[in-house]
Amino acid sequence: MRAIFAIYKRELLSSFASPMGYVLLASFLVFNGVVFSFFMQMVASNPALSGTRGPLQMFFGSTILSVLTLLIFCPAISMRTFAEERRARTFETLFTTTVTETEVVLGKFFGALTVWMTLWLPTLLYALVVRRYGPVDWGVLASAYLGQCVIGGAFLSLGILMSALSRSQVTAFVLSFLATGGVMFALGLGSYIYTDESRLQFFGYVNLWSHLENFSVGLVDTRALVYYLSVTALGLGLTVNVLAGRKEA
Amino acid sequence: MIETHKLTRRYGARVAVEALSFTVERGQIVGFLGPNGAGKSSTLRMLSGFIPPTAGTARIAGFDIVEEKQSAQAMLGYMPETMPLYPELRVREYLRFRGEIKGLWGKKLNAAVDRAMGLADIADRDAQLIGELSKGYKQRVGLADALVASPPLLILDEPTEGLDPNQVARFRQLLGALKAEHTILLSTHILSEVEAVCDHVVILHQGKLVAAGSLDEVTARRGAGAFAVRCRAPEGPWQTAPEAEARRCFEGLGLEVEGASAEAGLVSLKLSLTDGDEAALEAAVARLVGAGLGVREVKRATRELEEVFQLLTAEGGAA
Repeated sequence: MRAIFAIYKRELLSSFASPMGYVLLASFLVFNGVVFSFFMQMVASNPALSGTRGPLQMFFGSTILSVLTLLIFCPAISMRTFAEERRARTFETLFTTTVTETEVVLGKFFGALTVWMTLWLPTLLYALVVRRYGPVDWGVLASAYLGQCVIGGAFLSLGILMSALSRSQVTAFVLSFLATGGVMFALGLGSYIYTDESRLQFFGYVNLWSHLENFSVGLVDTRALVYYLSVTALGLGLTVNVLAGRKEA
Repeated sequence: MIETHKLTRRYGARVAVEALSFTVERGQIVGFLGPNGAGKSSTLRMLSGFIPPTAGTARIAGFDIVEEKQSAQAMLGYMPETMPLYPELRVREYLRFRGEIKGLWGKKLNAAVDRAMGLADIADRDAQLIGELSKGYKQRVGLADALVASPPLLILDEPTEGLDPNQVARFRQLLGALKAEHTILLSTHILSEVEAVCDHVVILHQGKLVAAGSLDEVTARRGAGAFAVRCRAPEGPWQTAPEAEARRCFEGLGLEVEGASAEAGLVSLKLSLTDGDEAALEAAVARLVGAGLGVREVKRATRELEEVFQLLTAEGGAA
């Protein structure tokens, strides 16, 4: 437990003691600041367009922009976790202590998740901006953040798995992008292609698009939670196995 | 402290370490020698639990390195060859992190970090970024890391590689100081280092053990069968052509004359037994006396570690 916390602290320290964390934070805020102001303008110029949804729901909802945020920033956070340790050979000092693979993976995962949620933290200011023009439902907003947390967690866990399989951060990034975009995202698109009941149900269950939408309007579906937590557990479990099966540095 | 039994490591078809068996007793400081690619680092990586052995077993302080890996790892501090560190951390941050994952916390952690920094002589650099340190300081941070949890066993893989002579000297001093409380396995190919600090050696060649024991034993054993003889010689061929004279004198005795020289009436002979039978030596002395020479000294020749090392690890060489 202490070892997990030690690894966790080291991850945060390394993220924010180097420019890496700040580069991520700045680019995240520039990108999402533009996206948010775009939605604000849209709602302001044409209130009928948004229907029942406010700019915050649109911001967190199922647009290609929010999916892109997941697809770009999650791999960017997770890519360094293990690839960098391999490159710097700190892998060897790490695994010659009593620390177990599981402890390392969990510490790194929670570190990455904290960085991911730290990126989202300043977006709370957007809610304050919206509040100047109308009411903000904080419960709905909390659901939107919960959605980012569990979906991001699943993306990060797959990213960490890819990082454990890579020697360079670039490879880790590309593999993570493919794994999350090619599988997590593309799988959900099946529910727009197939029409028969059983397939529709399956693809509906794994549809990232509709999950984002539900979380953004305050609909916390336990099936979606279970799905993302399962993917997270699978990714982390496989990572532990990859590390335990290491043959060489 | 360390016991290995037929420890073997293969990478695919390549055998890096083959059926290696040796022991290191508590309190020893053991030089782990071998040419590049002899399997030293692979062995150390197995002992430190980084890679599992393909076959065979090893115990650290009685704990099996596979079955009781964590208990075994808790007993050792490992300093790998490449000295990997996190450049973005400060020295103290790094050592605190290392202490924490080795199970230290709170006051104990602070005290352990201070102690390790003191021992490794880096207390003045505690707030410096590791990435900005010179190679010698990085090496010392690595040593402080190995020391932080005060493990009874230190495994150091080429710790003086790339240090300047002053730093090497300081490092040796430090090893001498650590000797009192730690068993040390020191991998190196700098033989003078071993002669300066180690009391025991283990020599590997092509993944196999070729010699193990105390420094004296290993150098003497390889010298077995070699003798140095000094005698007073009369004027004549013994003084002018001692080597030819000696060969003629010892003909048929099972002795080989490796060298001979004469100086100020004294002849020095270097002899080795061809079939290991020391009776030949008795006969040789009798013949010398019979030839009118006064034998003043017969002693077993010991070889320098460097000579032994070269003998043992020459291409295709065996024990």
